[in-house]
Amino acid sequence: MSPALHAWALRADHVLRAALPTAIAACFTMLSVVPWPIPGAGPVAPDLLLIAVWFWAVYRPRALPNAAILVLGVVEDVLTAGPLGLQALILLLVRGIVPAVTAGRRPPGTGVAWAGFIVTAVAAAAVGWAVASAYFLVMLWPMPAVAQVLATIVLYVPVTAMLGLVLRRLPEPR
Amino acid sequence: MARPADNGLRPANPIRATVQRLGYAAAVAAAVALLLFGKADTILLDELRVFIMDTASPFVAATARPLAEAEHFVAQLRELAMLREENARLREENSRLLEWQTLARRLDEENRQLRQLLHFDPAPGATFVTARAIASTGGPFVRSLLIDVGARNGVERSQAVITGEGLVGRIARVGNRSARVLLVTDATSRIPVTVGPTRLRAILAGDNSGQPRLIYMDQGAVVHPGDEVVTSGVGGMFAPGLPIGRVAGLEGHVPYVQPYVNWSRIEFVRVVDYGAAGAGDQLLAE
Repeated sequence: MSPALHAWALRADHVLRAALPTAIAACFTMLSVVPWPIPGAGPVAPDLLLIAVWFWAVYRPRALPNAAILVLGVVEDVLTAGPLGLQALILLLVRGIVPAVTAGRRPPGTGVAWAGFIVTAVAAAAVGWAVASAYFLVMLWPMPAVAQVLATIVLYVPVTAMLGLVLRRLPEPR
Repeated sequence: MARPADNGLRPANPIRATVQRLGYAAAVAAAVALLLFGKADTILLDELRVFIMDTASPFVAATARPLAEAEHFVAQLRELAMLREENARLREENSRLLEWQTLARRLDEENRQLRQLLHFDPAPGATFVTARAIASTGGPFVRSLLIDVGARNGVERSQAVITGEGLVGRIARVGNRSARVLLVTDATSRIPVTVGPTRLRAILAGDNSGQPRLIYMDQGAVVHPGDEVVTSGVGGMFAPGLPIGRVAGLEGHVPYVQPYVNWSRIEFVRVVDYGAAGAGDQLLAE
């Protein structure tokens, strides 16, 4: 392989690996709007995009760009017919607040990270429910939001295990 | 030793730090602006919604298909286990339906003769567009369904959407090749209905639970569990007589309705055009 071709291949490899978190988050957005038939609970759609945004905010904030979070949040809002901009705003707040809390500390272990995520997911759902109720001018039935939070919390461990594999293959931050 | 978390808000390069902070602030400002102006339903934002819905619907369909197949497979296994019982149930249902068929033929003939006697001019027949339900998009705040037909198939806003079981909802937003159905269970859904054999008038109001409520009934009106709820046709949004469900019980003094449609198993729906699409919008505007 000529040096120029080798350099080009290295560059392409770098770009593709750097784009992985955004590509995965886009797939998660599609999965987040399709309800899973959970026996006994009816159709529930776990918010996988929230898991992705939280994971990258903790372990590698710059891996998922703000613009990608804004766009994917808006896409999720449109596909779930929710208030336009609400999910995008919640995800951006998670993206902004989490690194401010974890700044200068060692990356948390799975247990601590999961506990932190549970607090984040419950807070995000509560804010979402309150804003959506005000937006539609009705007291929305909270059970779908509760079911979604529970499903999201349960799926946190396997989903972040998969994202952990991606994290190890990302280019080192400059 | 693990190194400290790479804090995206404080990169080493101060210029990059400033650019990143500005980018973050701009993204938050854009989300807030969308939230504030989205409520106004401006044409620009409406077009943005339709564009995103149309672009993303094939991807959502591709994502939903394996999940639907998995659910179908599990349902088939369950049915296999109960084949004997199912067969007996279907035989019983078949004999009951044959009785209804005989009755329907007799009533149809009687109806035709009475219409002739009255020189009744029937309303134009309804036309249907059959659609696949791409996904019953499961946001926690809105009960809706994404379907794979749109303006190019003649679908218009406010048209009724039904299955063989009953009314599903109405078309709330139309893209070129996709449309969104607002389910009768959604918190913003209000449908004029009649209840029971006495044809009491009421409004069926969704609240995001699976069982919408009956509101604005006449004072002293009495409904009983089991009473059938059908569209009244008032307002012109739906044809009269589309079945919705049965009164399931009372919560305080408010009756709640169990819809006929099984929400977790909607694969195909029919969009009904009986020539009055948009009438509901006009009525609301007035």
